[in-house]
Amino acid sequence: MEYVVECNHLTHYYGKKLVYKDLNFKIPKGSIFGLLGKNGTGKTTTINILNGFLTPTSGECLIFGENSQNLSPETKRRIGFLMEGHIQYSFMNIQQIEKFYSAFFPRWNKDIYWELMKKLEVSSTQKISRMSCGQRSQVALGLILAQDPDLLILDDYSMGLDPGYRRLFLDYLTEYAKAEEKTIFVTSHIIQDLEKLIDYCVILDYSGILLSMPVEEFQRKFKHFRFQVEGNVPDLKKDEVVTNIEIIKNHVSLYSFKSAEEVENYLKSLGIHYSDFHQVPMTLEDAFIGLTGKY
Amino acid sequence: MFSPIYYKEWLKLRWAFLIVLGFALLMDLNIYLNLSHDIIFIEPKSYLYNVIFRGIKFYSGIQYLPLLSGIVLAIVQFYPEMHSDRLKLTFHLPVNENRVLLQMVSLGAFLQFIISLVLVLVLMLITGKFFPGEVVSSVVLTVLPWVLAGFVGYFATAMILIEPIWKVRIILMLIFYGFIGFFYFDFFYNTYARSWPYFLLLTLAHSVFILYSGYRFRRGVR
Repeated sequence: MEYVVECNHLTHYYGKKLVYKDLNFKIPKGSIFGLLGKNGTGKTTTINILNGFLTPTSGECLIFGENSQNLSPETKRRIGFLMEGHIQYSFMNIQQIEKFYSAFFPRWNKDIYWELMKKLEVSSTQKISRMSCGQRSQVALGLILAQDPDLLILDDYSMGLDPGYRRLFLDYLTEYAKAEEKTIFVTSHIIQDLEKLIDYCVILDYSGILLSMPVEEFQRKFKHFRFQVEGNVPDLKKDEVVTNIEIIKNHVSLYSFKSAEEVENYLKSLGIHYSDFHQVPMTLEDAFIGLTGKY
Repeated sequence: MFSPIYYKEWLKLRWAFLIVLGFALLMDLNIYLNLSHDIIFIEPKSYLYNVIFRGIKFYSGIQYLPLLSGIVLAIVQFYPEMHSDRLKLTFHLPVNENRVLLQMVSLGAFLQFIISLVLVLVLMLITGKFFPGEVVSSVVLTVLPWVLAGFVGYFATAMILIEPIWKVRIILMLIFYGFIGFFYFDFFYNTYARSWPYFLLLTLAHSVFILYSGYRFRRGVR
């Protein structure tokens, strides 16, 4: 299998603060990879390392086989990069910025850019600095799609966008992903949008990497059980059966990678009396919160 | 091929360039009006005596203009790059990062050169209208270090703005503030008549200093 991105044994510290240790993942060509985590768990750090804007404390990232710390112009031409907050050259207007970027990319597709700009209903001489956050996001999206890159790196594309613009963004991303041989690396803290988009995920927490697996496998294996305890509320701790737990009065929400039968046996082995034991269906966002906790 | 980087930089710099250029011409006009006035009201021979033997610099009003121009151009050009880390967009372009930085400073330095050239050429014309050729060459030699200080100011401000850490920025500001002082030892005219080639070399050396700040930015120093 051909990998577009390979991160090997990535460890990073800011001063003495560990961001993560020994992060490993590979992104196969043509896949949509989500790096998920709450704010401050190292998503942007990883994006910065991938783009060569940050030297990791140890480990390395390879993009198209090149070390991300020294990407050649030819490799950078194959990567579309969306900065967090949809940052672009705001002193330009939408005509000037299209003219500027088109000079760098031989496969430049101006139709897709102007198609998105038409939706904005702004004049071609409107400066980007005078646009709303949603409009700026469309300019940034139009520019990276017009590049026709082989790899798209999107740093929290959903930041500051209302649901309409998020949906529009996703619709175009999905179309892009359908094209042959395209790979997407996306980070986001709004998980619900990604459920139908990504096919592999790494979930980061403040303590490091919580999970790395295909989304379908994660949603199939990770379960949410709810039950009521009778008598004293048990002091359940995280272990190999209990991945996460929330107790409100005598209502227990238990998250686990084990089957219902295994969890029930586990509860019985601890002498816990319970009732109304049932599995609750989860969206990807529910599963993410179940795994990482609400705080 | 004409690099699109120049197009981007021009979009940022064009208004600042035109305003500073206009201001430089106004300063020249001011010198012309003052000179015309003084030569009418002071006896010409006596005025020439003051210029030659007492070292009166009728053009001292433009002493800090090139420096101000260099600092303004660098701020207008590089502040937008540092705001929200936009420099990452520039470094992500499919061009070698050092080449991008050098192209950026080359356009800024070129515009600074145009401003300085116009300022000095008009000053030479004004001087030539009232004084002999020897005075004109003396004026050029006297303003030359001020012009060079403008370039140092431009390169230094660009380097300081790209530098990611404030503590280092402040240290660099102090160093350059002290260094630029060397261009203003003007006890008399023609002070730099023999040393200006060395100052020119030092000024040119400053043009690549930005690469160091750019390297630190790319390596993620924060």
